[in-house]
Amino acid sequence: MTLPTLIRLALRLLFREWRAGSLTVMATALLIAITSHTTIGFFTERLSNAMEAKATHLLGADLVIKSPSAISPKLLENYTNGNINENLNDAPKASLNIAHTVEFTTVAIAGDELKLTAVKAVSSNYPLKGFMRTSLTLFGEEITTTDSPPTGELWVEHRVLSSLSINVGDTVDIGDAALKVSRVLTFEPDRSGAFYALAPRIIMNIDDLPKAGVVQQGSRVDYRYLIEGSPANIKTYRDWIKPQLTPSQSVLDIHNERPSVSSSLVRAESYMKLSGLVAILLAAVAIAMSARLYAESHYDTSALIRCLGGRQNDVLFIFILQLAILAFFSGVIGSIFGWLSQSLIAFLIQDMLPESFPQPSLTSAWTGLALSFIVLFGFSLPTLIRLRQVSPLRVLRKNLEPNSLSGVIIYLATFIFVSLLIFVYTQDIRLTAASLIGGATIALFGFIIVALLFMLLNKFNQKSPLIIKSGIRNLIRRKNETRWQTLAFGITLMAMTLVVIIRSDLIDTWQSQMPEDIPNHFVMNILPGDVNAFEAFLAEKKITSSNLYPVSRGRLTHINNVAVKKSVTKEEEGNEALNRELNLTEAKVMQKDNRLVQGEWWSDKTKSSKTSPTPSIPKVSIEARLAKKLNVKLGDELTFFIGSRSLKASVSSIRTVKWDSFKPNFYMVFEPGSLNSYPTTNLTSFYLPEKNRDALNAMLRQFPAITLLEVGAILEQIKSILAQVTLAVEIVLSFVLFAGFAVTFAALQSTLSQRLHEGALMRTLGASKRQIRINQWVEYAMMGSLSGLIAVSGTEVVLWALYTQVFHLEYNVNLLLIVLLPLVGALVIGLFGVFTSRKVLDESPTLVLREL
Amino acid sequence: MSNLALAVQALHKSVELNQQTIEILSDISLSITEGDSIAIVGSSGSGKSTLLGLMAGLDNATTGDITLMGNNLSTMSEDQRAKVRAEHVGFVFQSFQLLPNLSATENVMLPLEVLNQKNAQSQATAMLERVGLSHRLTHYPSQLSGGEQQRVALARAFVTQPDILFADEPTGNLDTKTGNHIADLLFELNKEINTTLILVTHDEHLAKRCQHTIRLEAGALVTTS
Repeated sequence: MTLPTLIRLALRLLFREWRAGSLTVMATALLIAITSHTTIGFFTERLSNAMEAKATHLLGADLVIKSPSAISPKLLENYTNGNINENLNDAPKASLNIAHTVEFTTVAIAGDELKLTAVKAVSSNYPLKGFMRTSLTLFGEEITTTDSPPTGELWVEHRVLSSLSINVGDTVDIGDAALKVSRVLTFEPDRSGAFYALAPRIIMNIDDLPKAGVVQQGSRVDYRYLIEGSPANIKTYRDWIKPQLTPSQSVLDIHNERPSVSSSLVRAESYMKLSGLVAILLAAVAIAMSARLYAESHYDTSALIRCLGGRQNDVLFIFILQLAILAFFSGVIGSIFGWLSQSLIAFLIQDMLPESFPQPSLTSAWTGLALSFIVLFGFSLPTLIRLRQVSPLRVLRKNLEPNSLSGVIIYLATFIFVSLLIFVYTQDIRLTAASLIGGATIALFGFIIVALLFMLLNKFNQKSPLIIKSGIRNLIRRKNETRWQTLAFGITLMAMTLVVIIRSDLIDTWQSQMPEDIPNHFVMNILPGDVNAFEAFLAEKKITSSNLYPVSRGRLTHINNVAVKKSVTKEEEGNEALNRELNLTEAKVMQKDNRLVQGEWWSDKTKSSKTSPTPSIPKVSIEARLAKKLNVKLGDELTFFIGSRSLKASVSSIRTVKWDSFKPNFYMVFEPGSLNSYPTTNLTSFYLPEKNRDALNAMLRQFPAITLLEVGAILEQIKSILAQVTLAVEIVLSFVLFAGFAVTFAALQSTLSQRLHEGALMRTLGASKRQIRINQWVEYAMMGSLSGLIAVSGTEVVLWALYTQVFHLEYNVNLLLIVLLPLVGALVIGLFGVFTSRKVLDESPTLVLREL
Repeated sequence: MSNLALAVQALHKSVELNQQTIEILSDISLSITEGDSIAIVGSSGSGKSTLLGLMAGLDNATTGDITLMGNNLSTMSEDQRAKVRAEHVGFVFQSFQLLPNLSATENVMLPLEVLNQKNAQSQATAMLERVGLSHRLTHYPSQLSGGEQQRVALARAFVTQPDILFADEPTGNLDTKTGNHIADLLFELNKEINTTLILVTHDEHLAKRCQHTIRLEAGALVTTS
């Protein structure tokens, strides 16, 4: 046959197949896969761009270089716009915007009042990303701004005003410069994590710095270089500068600066990738099943074309061309659907999205098209290739089936395609290998379990009540097909359950991380004499707070009497915990969200002063990551310097701390009484709704010595990021569910004609509709509940692996699943099954028999 | 002397079933002259359809030779035999074997398209008109009665003007009256186009309308007339 003839015939057959509905399941599954892929692709591209933009707003730049001294200009100047230094040939010539900030602590003076403040001098292009919030009066209306203070002016936190007893418009001396307070600062983007240590903030213009003369050789100063540019330029620059930095200098980007945001993003991304993959693999299963059905229903067509003189390859070409056309249109339409659905989602949640939500690139559409071909060909070719093998003799002998390809070849081909698909999708060889091994193991064990269950069913069916006996007998009689169907349903149900559970757990984790009443204020420097009055104040204003922690500021100096600087590795010398004073606290009980990993928490009985007549040194509990970095073990002796005195303590436990909990957290917790003879102040955090902000004024008036920190704005930003991630996760979930339904449909269709035939025969032989309906329900529901059992075992194993290996979360066995899944399986498969076979009951048996 | 349309020499066909060799056809030899009409009769399981499949090149013989219009089928590959079928052979089946997704015209066009013939559509339409289905050109098989479907099958079989027509129980699925009409049409067209007709049937009445009859019993040729 000539090419035009073949194309014409392929198109004609395809068009008619389409109209007759025989391609519906296959095309729908493919469409679900592609729509899911492209929606996830388009949306996550936009979301991750927007979220990264938001995260960079928290950093104030794309990249920050932090240094204790001014860094060599040659590391920077090459990058400022248009200023290319010919002498630095090794430096990449990229265009970047750079803002400078210099942070230091100094005493601010107004009249007779003095206050130690944390000053940040900023260049006039600060902030490069994000914004500041300021108000023109104390606790007045907040205005968002991307400007920075002009020369001669200061923006200060309210604490500066209250402690210096001044107002907006007054003058404050910073060193030798007299500068006017022009605004109250309520939010700055790049305020870094260690906020307890900070004195109240003042922002000034960097050009006023020489006049002030406060930054001298040897001053403790934090230089930051905020850098903005295209992702490619940023990457080139980061790779170039990193090796040139000294150990005390560091590069910060969103991935190391904000662990609570970035770990949520990483988890959400892994989740979306995995669920997207689940949706596609499920769709692929549906395609493979419907392709088998499609191939089987075309044996006659192939035989006839061959009988009329068509060659084997003509037949194959016709079906391959049909597949290619189907793949192309599904790819294009799926991409369009994907585009539309992501636009719709963006429209529905526009209030939650940042103002700039960049349009996605077309990358996902291209990959969607490619995926369409990969999935359709990968999963249907092994069965469609059999059409080539159909003997023309089939026109005379209907029962003549084509030789099936060797099982090994089919499984090998499928395995290769699945691996390819997972790899293309995750770009992660480890994840690919893990999924493949996991998948194969589940399939193998699933099959063994199915075989065992069928054996048991056969044994116990002898004793079943008559009414369900015949339904179960049908199931067992068809066991060659039904075993596979049960396994397919089981794995589908498992995949759907996994995706639902992980989604709920992820969201719960995020929500527990960010509860409604998460503290949005921190109070420090509550004097010991004020503690009772302060607690009374909180009670009166109905403000719930966390515990009050007594805090002494101290520096870790020795580990087992060896100076810390000598005992740690070179790269740990820059560790924050060593280079600054730590907040040391004591506590009777451990904070709820801390977890002991080694040692024991002290109890009253073990309190050292009571058990031994000669008081031994106090015990301390150290945070796990710090302990690991400093190589500190249980029983080690740590020496701290508090003020001018030293304190020795032995490590009695090591615990993990949730740094992202927004509650007071401590590297070092001593047993009660240890800090009695040292000067302490108290620290607490509390939640105050926005509408009660007036209480802050009263608090500051009554307790002028306290330091109040507001973190509400940062919290709001993080919350809105998590809300977006949650939504994206739910959208992905819906695709998995659709794909799961497609599989169920495809699987049920594969034995439909046989069931219809039998049903029609039974009716012809006098079975009542009720009898047949009961039979159908028993058969499908039993198959569903067996699938449920497989799903339970698979789910528990996979969840355990995912939680402990991928997401690094804790895992508990879910008992509810064991009951729920078999029930859900029975109900869903029962409903779908009875629905697809309704024809047996709705139409006359003769009609059914004639059509088959 | 007339040319041979088909020659069968010492044909054997056996299959392996449960490690036993079952002889389906044994030592069949016959020759059919162009333009002849032959009925192959015999009881169920006597090997009629197997013989038809072998003679039409749809299957391979275990031993023996089949020559169809001068082509030795026994030495040919499946694709080579397909070419011979396209050029020389037409088929009519008991179960019609129309493609359900093609209209009547498209079904009839199919063998013409396999042969890359031009004007496939007009030839198909003309043939359908000849079998009395001018009003059913765009209908699909499911919209046609059994008799009408077999007429489409006849149109498809004769549209390429084949040298040999193989018919397998062409009236087997039809009632007597419709069956008779179809048989009439079959013989009319056979005469018009001067095709060699090889017909497998149970129906002695139909067999009698052929010039010769071959009777098979348990895979062996018992009588020819």
